[in-house]
Amino acid sequence: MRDVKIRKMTFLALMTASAIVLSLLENLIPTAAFMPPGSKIGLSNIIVMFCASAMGFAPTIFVVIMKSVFVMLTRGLTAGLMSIAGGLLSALCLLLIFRKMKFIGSIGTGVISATMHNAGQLAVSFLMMRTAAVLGYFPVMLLASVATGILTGILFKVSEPYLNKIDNNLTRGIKK
Amino acid sequence: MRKLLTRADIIIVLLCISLAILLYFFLFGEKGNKAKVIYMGETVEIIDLTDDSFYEMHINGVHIVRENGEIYVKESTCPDKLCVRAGHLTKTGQSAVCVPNKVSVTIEGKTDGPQAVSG
Repeated sequence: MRDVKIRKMTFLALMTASAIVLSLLENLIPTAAFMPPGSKIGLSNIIVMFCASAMGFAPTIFVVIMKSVFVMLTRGLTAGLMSIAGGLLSALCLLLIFRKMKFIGSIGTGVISATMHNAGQLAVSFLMMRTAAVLGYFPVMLLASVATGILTGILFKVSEPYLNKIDNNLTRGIKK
Repeated sequence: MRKLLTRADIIIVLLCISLAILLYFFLFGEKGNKAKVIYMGETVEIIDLTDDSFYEMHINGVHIVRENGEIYVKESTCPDKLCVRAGHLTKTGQSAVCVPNKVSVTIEGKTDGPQAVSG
């Protein structure tokens, strides 16, 4: 049975690495002209979505925290704190959606997760700034998360079979 | 595996878009006449925007400039520079926020809008 644990751990490590690499990669993509400054596509959310759908609570939270630690190391404490708040809020919503709300499709899942990610970030910036000025960013952020959420939702739907294949190959014969 | 798009998804997307539009009209008003500079939750300066002359101030690494009745963050020491990219602010409710430096600039009007409740 130790083998099972190792295989699961390997897959989790693979997912964590993918999330970090995707978040690093999207920093290289310039923000489109019609998008608000600083908005990101949230490519690593695809991985978090897959973890929430196929791996359960603890692995999902682990991936989110590891990704945020990486953000904290590379882009500073503020960015890291915002990443962890947004990531955890969005991950909790994803877990809820994948367990209880079967009527929501991939696009809706992506949009909710992106919105929650932004809401968590805004909450942290509100706590740090102690001013309602941050609210001014909310409408634009909401529109941006609809756009990026639709994109990640579609990308999740496209990549899900491949991720499933890797998962099944690694943990073959194991009852979940 | 779930579907790509369901009826619930369309409702979610429409809800988000309408909420964004509603908030836009609720939060932003017409051209404001003063800019409030807030550092760590405290108002440090109120800049008069009816004055067209050049004015600048530095606070915790953030360089704020008033030019032609508009206010903007010219430079900042923060890594992301989101406050700089917020651009020129004119309407009430618009703001440039620098979270790492804990500085924000918000436009306010004669009548206090929803922003007046800020801590």
